[in-house]
Amino acid sequence: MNILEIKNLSVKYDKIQILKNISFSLKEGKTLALLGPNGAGKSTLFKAILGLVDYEGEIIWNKKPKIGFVPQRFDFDKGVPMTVKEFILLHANSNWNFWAPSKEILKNIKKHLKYLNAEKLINKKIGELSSGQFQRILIARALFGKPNVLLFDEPTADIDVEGEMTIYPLIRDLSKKLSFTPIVISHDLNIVYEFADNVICLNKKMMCSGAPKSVLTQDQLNELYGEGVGFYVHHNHHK
Amino acid sequence: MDISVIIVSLIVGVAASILGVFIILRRLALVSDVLSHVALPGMALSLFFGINVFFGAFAALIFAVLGIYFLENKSKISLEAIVGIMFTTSLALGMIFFPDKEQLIDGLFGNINSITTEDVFLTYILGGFIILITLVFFRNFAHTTFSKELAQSEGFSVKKINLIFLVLLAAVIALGVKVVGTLLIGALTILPVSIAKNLSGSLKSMTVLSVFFGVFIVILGILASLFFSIPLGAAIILSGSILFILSLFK
Repeated sequence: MNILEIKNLSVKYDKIQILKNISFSLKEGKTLALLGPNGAGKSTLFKAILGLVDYEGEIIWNKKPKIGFVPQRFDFDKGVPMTVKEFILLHANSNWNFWAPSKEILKNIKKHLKYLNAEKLINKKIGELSSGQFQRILIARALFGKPNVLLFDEPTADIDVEGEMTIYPLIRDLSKKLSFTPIVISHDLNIVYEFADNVICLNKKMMCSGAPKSVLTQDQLNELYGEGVGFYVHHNHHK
Repeated sequence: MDISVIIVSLIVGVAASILGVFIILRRLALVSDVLSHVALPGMALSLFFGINVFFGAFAALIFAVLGIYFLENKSKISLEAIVGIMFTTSLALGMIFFPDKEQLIDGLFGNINSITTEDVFLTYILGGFIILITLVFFRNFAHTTFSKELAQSEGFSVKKINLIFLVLLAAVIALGVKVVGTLLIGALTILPVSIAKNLSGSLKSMTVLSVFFGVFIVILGILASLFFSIPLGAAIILSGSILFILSLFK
């Protein structure tokens, strides 16, 4: 079943075309990867799905959407002495739950942190986390809202390859366990190849879509990124 | 010292210190300090028309924060410049409109001994309002303070929350002008939370400690004022300053 269908989606910022005529559907339970160079409009597509930008075209949900969002990078104030627990509680559905969370909510927070092997971080300040730890917290926090779709915008610069390799199997396992459908923005072809069921190549318009093995050909990659981009092997692949 | 003076001072201490959490975290310490002077022309006009200075101060401050809110959203002038212009304009207007020098001094430094039953009643209402609304919107304030971007992406209306915050800021400054005066109310919103920030490891503990210190420095100030026969406003602020210095050596 398709949980989401996008038809002829276009987005403009100040007359500049960011996305043009994007159409695809998202199959429930199947990981979809968005691939494309910087500035291709991948994050803008997320914003359109989240309803944060104006768009033309249609975004049709076949199920009431509950979207969990893991942003790539965002400005935050490290001077705010907010703990991981408090940060997740910002997601709680009432102010009272923020002030005096019930035992059930606290148990739930611990459970979600445990999913990401981050239960020890519960009382740490957000400003003191490493970028890898922070990313795990962002995922735990997004999952705490019990989403049926998880948008995951991959940070590239500050996470080492080994860290990157561990987060994807985790997301895939969790998507089965907690029944959500992940849409992942990734820059790493190997990861897309290994973990995505379907892939969409974007560069302002749709360049390809389908199963990674059938669409990620060298010709296609050349067209998307320019010559010289291909697969390389991670030496620590199966650590 | 009258019991109502003590109660009014304590309410002002609690309201200022709880809202102060977000004044400090939003880096608005100097904005709130400077903004407090905007109350002056409003107070002067209230004296002129023979109404309670609370109303004049509150009206002038609401006018100022709404001005800040719209100018910040609609124009490219920086917040600093807007507040700076408002501050000096208000001070100039205050100097012209204040009926006499003595009342101007009361306006600047507060004179809690001139407090009336009406003032006490207004403090209960306004103080209760500030404390309640801050608690109700605490999560919203926390989220938009921590990251505007993330809050926006999660459907929080950042602009609306900012407006509510600015109205509370106006209210807390209006509340404090009688107790510590316009010159010093800014400090009462900054000091307790700054002490708390040095000693706490979470947002919740910072808030609880801030309120604790808000109450504590008011009590210390009252005692110092009685013991050394110094003005209450100055005594409260100085108690806070001393505790702040001590908190640096924790």
